Amino acid sequence: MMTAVWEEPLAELYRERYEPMVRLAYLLTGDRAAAEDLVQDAFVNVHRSWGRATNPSAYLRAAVVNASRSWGRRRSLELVRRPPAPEHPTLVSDELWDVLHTLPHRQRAAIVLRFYEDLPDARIAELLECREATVRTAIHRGLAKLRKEIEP
Amino acid sequence: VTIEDEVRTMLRTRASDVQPADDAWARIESRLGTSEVAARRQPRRVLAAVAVAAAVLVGAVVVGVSDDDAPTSVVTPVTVDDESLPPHLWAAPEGTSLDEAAAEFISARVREGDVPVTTESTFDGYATARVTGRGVETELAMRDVGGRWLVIAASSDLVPIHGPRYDGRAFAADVVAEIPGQLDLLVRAVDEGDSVEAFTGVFSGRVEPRQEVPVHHDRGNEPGIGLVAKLVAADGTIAYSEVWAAKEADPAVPTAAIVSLWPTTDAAGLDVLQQQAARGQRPDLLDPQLVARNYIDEFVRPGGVEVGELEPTIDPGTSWVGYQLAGGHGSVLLRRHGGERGIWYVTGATADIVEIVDVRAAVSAGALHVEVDVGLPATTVDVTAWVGGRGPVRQSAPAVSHTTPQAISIPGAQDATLLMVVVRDGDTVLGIAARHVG
Repeated sequence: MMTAVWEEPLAELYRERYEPMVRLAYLLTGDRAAAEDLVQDAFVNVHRSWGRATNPSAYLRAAVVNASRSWGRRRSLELVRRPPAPEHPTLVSDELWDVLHTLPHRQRAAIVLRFYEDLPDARIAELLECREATVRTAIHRGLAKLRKEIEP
Repeated sequence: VTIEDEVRTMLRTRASDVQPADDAWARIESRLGTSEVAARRQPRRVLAAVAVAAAVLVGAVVVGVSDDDAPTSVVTPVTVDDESLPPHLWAAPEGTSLDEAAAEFISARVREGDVPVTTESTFDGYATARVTGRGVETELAMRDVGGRWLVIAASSDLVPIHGPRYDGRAFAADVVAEIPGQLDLLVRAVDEGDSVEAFTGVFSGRVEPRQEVPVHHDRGNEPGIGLVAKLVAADGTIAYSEVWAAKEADPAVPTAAIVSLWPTTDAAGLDVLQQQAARGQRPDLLDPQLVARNYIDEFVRPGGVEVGELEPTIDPGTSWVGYQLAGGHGSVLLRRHGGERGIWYVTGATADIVEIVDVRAAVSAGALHVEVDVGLPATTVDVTAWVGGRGPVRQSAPAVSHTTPQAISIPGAQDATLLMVVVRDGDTVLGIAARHVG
């Protein structure tokens, strides 16, 4: 798989973090193809910033979160003109999942980063570029909406 | 079970269903290859953008390649469905919005299907739409005309088009393939009368990374020529560039008011010369002392006149140089066209022994009256006036006196924009004065 000297550090990061990042991107976007695209773009960005980023792994995650947010914005514009394609039919319908992706990006991302990545508020606040109190509010409101939607 | 527990379980279940594609690393490598190239090309990208903008504004250029076994022609209905639109603007049938117009263009020119478009910037009726991912790499320059978005040009860092130019006889440009792949170059001409556009293949073949493909395509009597560059990479990604070059005006055949004594041309001609200088074709125009010397060589005395240092003025866009003639000291007044890399041109001249005292246009008489003060005994006063886009009007008169001003009338020069007076003693030039009229 590895072919060039400059690729080795990136390849190491790829081996360790590619799959977790694709899963994170999928949880944030709800779109498998987009998740892979976004993470691959994030790796390219990491490579460009190699040497400047003190923690490439953290940089990668931030890049994925940011890219997911941008993707969401573009997607929302596209959906105005075009109905969404049916999501992968291999998965069974999941009401909680469906409602998660109706949440605003910040609420959805805060919930994913807290309950999937198990990150503390301070780290989530850094990634979402907001205050810790805003993170707590976003999680509270997001969970409240999920609870309301799935309760009989 | 709390909602938090349910969410945590749901997220992990969903995540565990995701299995990345086997070729993910290969895709990253491919993107790295192209991004490395793109990063290296940033400065040239800016230049290319400037060139495209200049081509659009000034009416410059497009591509051309010569390859004996390549030519093929495809004629298609023109995409411009409004005859009032110039042919270098490509309308999209449903392009009432920026995104739609960009998508229509990509679908018609590059690849059919859903391609994501990102609007990068919009300003004063112009916009940039970036098309990247999903197998297409290009950036569209767009313009809003009456509520419809039209594509002006397309450019990709992976297959930039450099220096497109069309002089009315041949089209020339340089195309660079930054990554390996299959490159196809087509020259585009538009027949407005028949509402068709024709694409003629001028190059088709495999190219290596950073391979430059010069284009030269003989074709006359077109209002402009377009060039299409389509590079298909190994992973199927299509890099697409397309520019249009309107026929360059011949700076030696001015059609409007003359603004420059040397090179003698109008404002449009200066624009063309600026383009040529930017392409490295007229380095002489970037040297103000050389411009002054060339002016003296042409109008005063060929060779042998040394000019002095460039003298600064308060305005950085103007300057002058001194020189010595038989009748005394003289100066050549210079102006710079544009900014720091602008060309220099001559706007006037002064001399110790000759002064243009007064200039009056006598419209009813159809003449220009000039009053000249000559400070030394002389034999001849030659007056040259440039009128609009016509050739110069000349009047030669014997020098009557060097103690009182002399009046000279130039028939047909009442609309002159530039005036030059040369005072001679036999064959010897004593002094020269030149200035704008009005």
